Amino acid sequence: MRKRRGIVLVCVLLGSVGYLALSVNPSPPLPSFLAPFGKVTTLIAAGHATTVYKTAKPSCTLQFEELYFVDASPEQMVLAFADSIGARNVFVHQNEAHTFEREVAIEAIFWKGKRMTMVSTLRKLPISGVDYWCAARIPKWLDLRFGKNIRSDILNPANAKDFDSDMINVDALRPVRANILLSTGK
Amino acid sequence: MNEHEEAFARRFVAPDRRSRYVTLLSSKRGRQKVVANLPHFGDLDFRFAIEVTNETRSEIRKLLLEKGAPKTCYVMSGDTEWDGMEISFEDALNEVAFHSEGTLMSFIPGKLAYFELEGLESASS
Repeated sequence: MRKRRGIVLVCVLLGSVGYLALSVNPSPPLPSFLAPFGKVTTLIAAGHATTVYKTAKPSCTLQFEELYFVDASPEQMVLAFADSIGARNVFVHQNEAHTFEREVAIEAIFWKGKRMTMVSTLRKLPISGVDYWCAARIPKWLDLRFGKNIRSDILNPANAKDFDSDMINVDALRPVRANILLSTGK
Repeated sequence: MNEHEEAFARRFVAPDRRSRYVTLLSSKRGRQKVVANLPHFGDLDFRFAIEVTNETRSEIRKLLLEKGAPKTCYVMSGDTEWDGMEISFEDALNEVAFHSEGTLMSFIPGKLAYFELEGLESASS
């Protein structure tokens, strides 16, 4: 009788521990392609990634200490910027089809110093002058939670005046954003 | 289908692509496709397009007012914060403009709109 009670008690305890573990950490694990990065400390969101984080479902959290929005910037600019701030692990969402030779939408991860293995079925993209990059399909459920140091459009000449211009030569940048007025009148 | 979206497709899209966009915009799934492609939209009818990339916010405001922009506009955007919303003219200029590539702000259906996308090269090529 005592033995049976003991077994029941152990089962209840194990069940409780399991339930608590699931409750405390309901998020799914990070996608495997992020594993080599360890802790991603700097996020550089390029292209129209500025909208991606808003549409991602909040089921997985990546914590970044710094976030830089570098909208409307070619890859080379993004990476030059990454160098200028000494970013080690740089995560770049990229959907800048016009900066590539082919019209394909990609999400890319650049990890300085390493040429990563392609982990998605997307084709290798011709990014001239860049010898370290990988591309991966970022799942839409990835929720990017950001740290405090949010800066916006730092490489966009139109907004560069708002930021520290000594970090990069803003005069050398060219705008790739297009603003268009559509009108049928005069 | 939203009046502004339909008018955009029927007037500001290249003639040979108009019916395609009207069809797309008439379904939720099709609309999602259109919205997702807004940053790289390449099907504008450039007869009605004036590039104002180098204009400042106040210059764009002036242009829109000169062309009769009303006090509100409708937003179609990949930015879910604004997509599908009818917002004030001032919010459109101060909060939305210069923040989200791939955003269309329609002021007068089929007559006046302001569009921000990721580069004219891809759009016009």
